[in-house]
Amino acid sequence: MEEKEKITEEIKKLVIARIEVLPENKKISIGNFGEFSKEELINNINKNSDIGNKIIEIELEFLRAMKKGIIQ
Amino acid sequence: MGGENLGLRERFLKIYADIPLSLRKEIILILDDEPISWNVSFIEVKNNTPKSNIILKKLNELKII
Amino acid sequence: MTFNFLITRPEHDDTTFYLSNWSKETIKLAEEKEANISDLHREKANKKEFEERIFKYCPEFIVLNGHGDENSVAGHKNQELISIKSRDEILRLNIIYAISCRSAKNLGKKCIEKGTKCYIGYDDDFIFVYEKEKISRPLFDETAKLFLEPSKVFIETIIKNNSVKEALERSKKKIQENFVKTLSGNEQDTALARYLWWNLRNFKFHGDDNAKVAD
Repeated sequence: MEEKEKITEEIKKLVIARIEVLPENKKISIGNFGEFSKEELINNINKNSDIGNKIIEIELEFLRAMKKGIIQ
Repeated sequence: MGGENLGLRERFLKIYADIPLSLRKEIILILDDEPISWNVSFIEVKNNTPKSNIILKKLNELKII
Repeated sequence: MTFNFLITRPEHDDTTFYLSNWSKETIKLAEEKEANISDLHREKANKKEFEERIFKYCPEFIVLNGHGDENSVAGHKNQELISIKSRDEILRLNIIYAISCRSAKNLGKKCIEKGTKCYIGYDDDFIFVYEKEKISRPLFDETAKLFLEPSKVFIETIIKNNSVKEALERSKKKIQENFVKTLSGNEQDTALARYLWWNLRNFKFHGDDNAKVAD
């Protein structure tokens, strides 16, 4: 993600919709941020926290990576 | 505007062709509070619907295409 | 072939508990290869023990499990073990593999500058997904396996005296295989793909990838 990309409400809604598909029974360990359930990730995105922004970064980068072909 | 979208349409179709089948069900856009997947976008874009112009414009803005 | 192997295994949260358990088999392999092993487990993964072992044994292969940032890697309860400000003797090593966030960005480069032969790690956050109900039996967690098995492959390849280059190839191949596996599964499996992609993208090395534990 480019430096200081503005996180619009549109982007947040998109990422939340994508995160909703994550399984209920799983947790995600994200570096130093800790371990999160799907609900916790969504709350963080809504709160504009650092972990929320990190998740947004990962989702957008993955989506944008499709342009170059995801399987190499 | 039409000329711009032709370029975007081609880009979209080229990218779509290379996306694994299981990933094509993923949501790539929210339009009027409705989730739109790669597959749904493909149907609109392939059929050159009015909605496809909006979809392509937004995907371009998000740098997804 | 004998060599000195140092591994840190803090266990103070789910993440470090998983990393620690998934490293256990690599220690068994090192034992079979008659390596001289320093297993800094739980409270032993502290700065004093870490530095003492380095001075005493000059380990040819160091594996750091734990949290980190661009400049440092931590041990048990996030006590800093090694950073860009560590003494030169601590930064001048053979092969270091850090399963830790972001340390390849700055710490890795600093180590090479100070004489480490090869530093392998991640230049952004390391991510893995796990099953809540498997927390007490992490080695039976098939979801976590997708993310942690490639790391195990890397470590084992080095222990068998292959080059870092070979270990990276095998490990990345395993991540790719697991990535493709998630794409052929159901929607919930596919949701894991992005995190495997992320780890693969950020898996980096600095220095000489021909490095081995024994020449």
